[in-house]
Amino acid sequence: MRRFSHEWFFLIPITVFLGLFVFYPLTRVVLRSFTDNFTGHCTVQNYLNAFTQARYLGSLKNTLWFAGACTLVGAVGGTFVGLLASRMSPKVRGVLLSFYSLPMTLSSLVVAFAFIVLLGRNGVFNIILSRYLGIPKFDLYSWHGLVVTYSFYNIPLMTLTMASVFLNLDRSLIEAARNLGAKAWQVWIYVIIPVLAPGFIAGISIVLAGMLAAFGTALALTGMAKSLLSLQIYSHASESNYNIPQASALAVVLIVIIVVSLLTLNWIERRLRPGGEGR
Amino acid sequence: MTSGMASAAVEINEVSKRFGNVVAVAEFSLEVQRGELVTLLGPSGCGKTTTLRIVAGFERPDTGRVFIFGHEVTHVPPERRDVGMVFQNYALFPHMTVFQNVAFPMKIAKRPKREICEKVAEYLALVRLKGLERRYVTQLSGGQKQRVALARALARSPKILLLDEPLSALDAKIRVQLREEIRQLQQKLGITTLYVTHDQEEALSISDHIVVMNEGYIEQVGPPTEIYFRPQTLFVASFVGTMNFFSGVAVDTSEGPKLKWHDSLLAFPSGAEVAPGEEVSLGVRPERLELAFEREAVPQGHNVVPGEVGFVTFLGSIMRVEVKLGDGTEVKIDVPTKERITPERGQRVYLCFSPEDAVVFKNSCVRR
Ligand SMILES: Nc1ncnc2c1ncn2[C@@H]1O[C@H](COP(=O)(O)OP(=O)(O)OP(=O)(O)O)[C@@H](O)[C@H]1O
Ligand SMILES: [Mg+2]
Repeated sequence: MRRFSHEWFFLIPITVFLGLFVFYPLTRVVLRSFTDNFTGHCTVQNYLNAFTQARYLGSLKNTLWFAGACTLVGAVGGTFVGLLASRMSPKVRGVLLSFYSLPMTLSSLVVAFAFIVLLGRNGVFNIILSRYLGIPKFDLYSWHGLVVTYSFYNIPLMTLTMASVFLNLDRSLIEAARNLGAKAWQVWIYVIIPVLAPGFIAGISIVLAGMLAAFGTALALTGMAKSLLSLQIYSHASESNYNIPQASALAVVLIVIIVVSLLTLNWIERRLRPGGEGR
Repeated sequence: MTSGMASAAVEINEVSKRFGNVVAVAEFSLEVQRGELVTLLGPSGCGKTTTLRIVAGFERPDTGRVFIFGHEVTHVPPERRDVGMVFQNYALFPHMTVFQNVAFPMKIAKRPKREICEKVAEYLALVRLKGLERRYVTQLSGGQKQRVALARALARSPKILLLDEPLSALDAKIRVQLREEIRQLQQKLGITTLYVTHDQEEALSISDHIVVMNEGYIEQVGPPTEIYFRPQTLFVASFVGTMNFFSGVAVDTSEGPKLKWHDSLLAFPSGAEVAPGEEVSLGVRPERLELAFEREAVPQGHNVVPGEVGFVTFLGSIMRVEVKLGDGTEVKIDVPTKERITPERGQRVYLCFSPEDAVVFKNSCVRR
């Protein structure tokens, strides 16, 4: 019992911190989401709105599509670059991966401006593209423009995960499979992909969660022009259509979506993990 | 070299392999007969694994050829060689159960389900792992993993079996037990086996033939007793077991050539061809040396060297006694404890051995 109480002592600071900055606001958001904006009475109208009004349904759909597309691009790009990185000499790989850690440290505003300078209507690349190559300008402010911009975060993020996943792949497993008669493609299907799957899923979980809540760069690039759930929440929490209870309800919906997708991916990962339950 | 009943199970012909400046295997030639267990023995980095990987097809030799049952396989990819291999780290598939691991080669070969089930059961019984089919390999002990790896390598009845230090990751007791099991299994199945180890005791205990390797080259090939009792090079003598060396110059005496070692004259074993003036060493195993407390106790015809008892280590059935000789060298002697002599530190003694128990080395550079 003594040891138990000692351990508790060290948990106090982090518990206080989480309580103040996560659980307290979260509880407030949940409580507020069940109140009426004008009367303050208890109601579920905000949730009904979220699932019936066209603008909310639209942004919900946009968020899911956008996050899905970003995750796909990040997963494919990151896996590919990760595989390449794992085959580089340690020195070259170290340089590449330290560059790839940069995007995560950059402010979303800085990234947005960087893309405007390069790919905006009068961006360097767009001028080269249209003037000298005759290719139509790239529209940075469209959905695919947003996906490309966010790939600036997602591909490096996924690359960092996948590079270490590929590096940790035990080469003797591949040799064992070949020794037991497997051809190259069978080695991929039966050994490499299943062994890498848990790491891959852990990687896309991070990307997907980030993209469901994507906000800063999207706001800086498109303002409110693109209706994402995160931007809807922001617009209700500020400006003209100030409606905190409605914003809270949308936030709860977004949180539930993120939690459910993470739990699902985590469940799949656990089943795929060596020695995991299942199959 | 075409197929035929006469050909060896494995023939390695003048194989060399370099990695950059490192010569891993040099001019390596070896024949392994059907049903034999041949051990590659040598210190770390001497090229054992590389040799095995060349036979398995994971490395291409720079020169030379490899034959399996008379068929050249030098350029055949590993998946078409039909060679079972047990890897040093087992290389079991972590996402598969014991059953799935052992079934893997047969699943790849598209064998019918029933046959796979029967074979897996048969081989798991053979390695005494029945009942663990549904376990994931991450949930097994080291010894159990080793058995799964063995069952998996054997399950589709490969032509030959390759084992790369299969026991090095296990603790001493299981190592001894498992090596006996591997040997029994190998004899039961009659499968030709190449076994890599750096543990000389392991090699001596399970092999039909031992190949002692050093820096990519073969030092000596022979049955365990020959390797132990008749080492042909100083390297083999000092690597396999413990060997005491007496080095000096051969001189002519009335009783034929003898080794002049400080104040002593040591007789050579009969049949040794030593010319006077030649620099030679006599090697004697610790268990072939005897201790005498008085000069008179030395048997007739034995070589004698005086010394002083140093460190004495009790090892159960034997006592290892270090004796300091006049020139400062130390000699190790194994005295069976059943002889009930207890040498005291500092005691003056005589070391003696029959000339027939010594081995002559013409090369004077003794490795110590
Ligand atoms: N892929 C490789 N690249 C470069 N050098 C290598 C490679 N594989 C082996 N070598 C070198 O070749 C030599 C022989 O290596 P090998 O692995 O065959 O030794 P070994 O006898 O199996 O040693 P150990 O008992 O330590 O396993 C060593 O000097 C090693 O460093
Ligand atoms: Mg090795």
